Amino acid sequence: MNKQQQQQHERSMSRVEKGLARRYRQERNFKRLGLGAILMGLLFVSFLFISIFANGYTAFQQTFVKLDVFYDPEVIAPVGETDPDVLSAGHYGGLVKATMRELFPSVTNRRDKKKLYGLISTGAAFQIRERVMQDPSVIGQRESIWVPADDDVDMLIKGHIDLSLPESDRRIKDDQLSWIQGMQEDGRVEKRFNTTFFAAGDSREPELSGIKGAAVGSFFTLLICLAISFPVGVAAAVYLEEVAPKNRWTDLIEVNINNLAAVPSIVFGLLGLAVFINFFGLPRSVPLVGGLVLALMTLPTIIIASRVALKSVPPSIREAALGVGASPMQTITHHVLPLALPGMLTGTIIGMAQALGETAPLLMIGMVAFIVDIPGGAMDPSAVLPVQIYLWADSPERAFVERTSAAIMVLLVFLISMNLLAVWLRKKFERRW
Amino acid sequence: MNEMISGHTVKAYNQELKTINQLAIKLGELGLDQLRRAVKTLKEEDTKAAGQVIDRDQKLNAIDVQADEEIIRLIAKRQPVAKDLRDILTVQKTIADLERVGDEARKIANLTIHFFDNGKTPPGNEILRDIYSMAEFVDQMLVQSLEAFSELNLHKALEVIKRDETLYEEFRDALRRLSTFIMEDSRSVGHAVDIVLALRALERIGGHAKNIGGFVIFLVTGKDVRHEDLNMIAAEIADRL
Amino acid sequence: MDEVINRSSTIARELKTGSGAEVGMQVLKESQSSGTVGDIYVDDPRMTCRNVNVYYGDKQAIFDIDLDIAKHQVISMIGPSGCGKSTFLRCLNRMNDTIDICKVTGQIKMEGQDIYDGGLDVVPLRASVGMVFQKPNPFPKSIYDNIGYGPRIHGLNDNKDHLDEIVETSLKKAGLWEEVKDRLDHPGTGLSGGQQQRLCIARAIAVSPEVILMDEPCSALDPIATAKIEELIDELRENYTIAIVTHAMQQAARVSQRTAYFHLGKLIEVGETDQIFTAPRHRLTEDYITGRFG
Repeated sequence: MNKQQQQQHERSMSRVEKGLARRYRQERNFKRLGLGAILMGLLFVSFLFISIFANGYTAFQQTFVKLDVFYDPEVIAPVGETDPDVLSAGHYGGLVKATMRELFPSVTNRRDKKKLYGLISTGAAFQIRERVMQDPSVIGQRESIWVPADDDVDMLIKGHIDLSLPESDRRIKDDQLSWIQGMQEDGRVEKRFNTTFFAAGDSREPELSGIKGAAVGSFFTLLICLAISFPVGVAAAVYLEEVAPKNRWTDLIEVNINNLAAVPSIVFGLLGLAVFINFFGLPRSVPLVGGLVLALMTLPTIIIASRVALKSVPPSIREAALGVGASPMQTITHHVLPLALPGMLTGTIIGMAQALGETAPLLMIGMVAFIVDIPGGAMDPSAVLPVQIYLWADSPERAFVERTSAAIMVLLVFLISMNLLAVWLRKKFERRW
Repeated sequence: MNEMISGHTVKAYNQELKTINQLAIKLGELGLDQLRRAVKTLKEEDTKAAGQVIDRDQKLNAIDVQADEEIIRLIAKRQPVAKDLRDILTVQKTIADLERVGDEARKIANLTIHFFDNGKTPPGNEILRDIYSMAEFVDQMLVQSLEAFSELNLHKALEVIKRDETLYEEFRDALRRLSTFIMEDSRSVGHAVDIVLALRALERIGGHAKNIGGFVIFLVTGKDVRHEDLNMIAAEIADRL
Repeated sequence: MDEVINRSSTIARELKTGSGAEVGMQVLKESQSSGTVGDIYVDDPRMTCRNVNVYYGDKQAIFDIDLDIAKHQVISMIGPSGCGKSTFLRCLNRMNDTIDICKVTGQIKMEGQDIYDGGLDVVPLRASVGMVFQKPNPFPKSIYDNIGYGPRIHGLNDNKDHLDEIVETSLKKAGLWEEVKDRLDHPGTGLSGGQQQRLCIARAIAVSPEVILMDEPCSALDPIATAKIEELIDELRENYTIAIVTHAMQQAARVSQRTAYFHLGKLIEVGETDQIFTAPRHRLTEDYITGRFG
């Protein structure tokens, strides 16, 4: 190295060193910025989770009251009666009332009696009827059974009612409070696991409402959605990627598919309403129509994901197959599809998760109706989980607030497990080539 | 730069090829110089100069060794093909032939010492005349072959090959004249064998010159013409002349 | 010293030899209308290509190529990148069909049958003209399935035992049997690069082709693996006709009997490999193989 070069080198090195501190500082700042963004995201997510959990965890418990019911043959049916028609026609509400009167004999005032009866859920009468229908031999006997308390009592026990408010602003009045305290002292009030929440359909009474109807509805809807969108989506992707000539028409189709993925979901609801319900005359509020609409919505997602998966299969594999004389069809079915399948499945599951959480298009096709029954098939009217959440969130009763959060938790559990399934599938079937 | 060795993407390759070509040319210059000096010592009866000629042969040998080393390195490093390969082979063979030219020149210088440094009667000028005339002829051939090599001149290469046949005739004639001398003057018998050796050395130098001509044709055309007769050679290179 | 043979002669050589070399490099004769130097014809051709032109859309990639491919010979195709050698190779088993915009004109005959004739199906053609690619591309399946795939789809095997036999002989021919016989159920992608490439050769052999096309088969391999493939190519010559595209000129010199030099989509020179690598006749060939290109 001659002298001039040496000088040049030293000059440039000193400049490099001068700028070095700044470069490292920039790098550190950049890292911090990214870390900050991640922390912010985590903060929001945890905030969401904590608030939902804090609101919702109490919904998994329900207050029950022990009643010593006398199965009065005069009210129900004569002893020995087994005809279900006769048995079910009994005035079971009267039984509950009689039991309550027995429990608090001091209450005589008509208005006070009504308040007293209000402590017990209207579901208690159905529960007693069930008991009798199951075993008619109990008629004429006395038995202790646990029945659900009214939602206001439930709220009180869970501490959601502020007792410092004036009596007129409270759902639970002072005398009700004293009765409840009396029952508590007798050991007649207990919090138990809320099986109703997982076993019942919707109800006007919070203590009797559950998510099973919505969950089953969601299941049927997703089943229809999957059965339609997966084969159609994969077939469309395979055709576009492997078979179709590249020309203006396929370009146009591609652009439109990409656009469809960005169309607001409510538009699909309108489409479903117009086509499936108004034109084809399918019934409203049924999972079949819901599934069809959601299939339309998830198709672009599945097609795009599947095309990406097909594209990511190395061309060398195609060449290898064609090189030994496989036909294009054999090349696709024997080699390309198996390799692309994990990616396709992942895309499909993501699409399904999206469909599971979708509300807007289903509102348009009437799945927002109040449906108590648990659907038995794709043609029964039903609700779906997100719509159920939407309905409960809209209800005035304090007890629906916790149920809303609990339903959101259930939905989140489904979504997260579907995503985990996607990750697992990808890990399991992903091959190195 | 030289069309034959230039133009490689790897510039160092050009330089390496140039180096061995220059070694060959240098060796050619030295060999020719040795030949001329050796013949001159004979003419001038200068035994001291003859000793110098013999000593200088070491220099030629050194170049021969050096060129071989360069060539081995070049082949190992570059894996030459086509004209590069022919070039390298031609240089290698040319150098081998030129080194022999040096050896033959040394033999002639040895004769000078033998004739004029042992106290015996030196041979008469008459009897040595054929050596001078043949040396003249061989000198021309060698110059021509070196020119053919350095210029890649097919004309000159062909000329050298043609001249080799003439040289052989000359050699036979000289031998015949020598026998006549011996018959006329039996005293010269003692020198006759040495003179035959000198003639033979010159004839060999001519042969080496002819070989170099053949190599040049191989280098340019890619055809090995060493063992073909003149007409066929001429025909083969005709379309290139 | 003499004035002729002095220092200046070195310079004279540098100045004057230009003309001499040019004389030397002049094209001897143009034996074909397409302008190719050397003999495109052979006595016993497996494939004959006449007037082959290839277009990618509006762009012409191959111009008027005439070439015979002899039986039981290795022909290597060399040339700078983008010279069309791979494109031409891919015409020989219609691999170019997979590219939409690619159009091939002219005549390529195999045993007298035009392979671009509408009546000839591409599937049997690819079975009789196998191909080995630049990057080893075994299927992500077991070694056994890699070899067995071709015979299975063509229905070449009578039963399972027969397929076992095909797999074994193919692997033996490819010189891979001893290395993998104990792990035929292992994935083919788990082999080393050189083994993978031999697996691909075995896969091509398994459908008993007549011609094997190789598109730079050693470009992704180390010298030892390359040497094994080259040895294999030499052995395979006995039973197959092989056309190989290679960037390594020395490889062409080592494995092939005939060499074709492509330049800008044209076949410049074709001839015996010995002749091409010692005394090429066309200036472009000479420049390319001696490293004077560009």
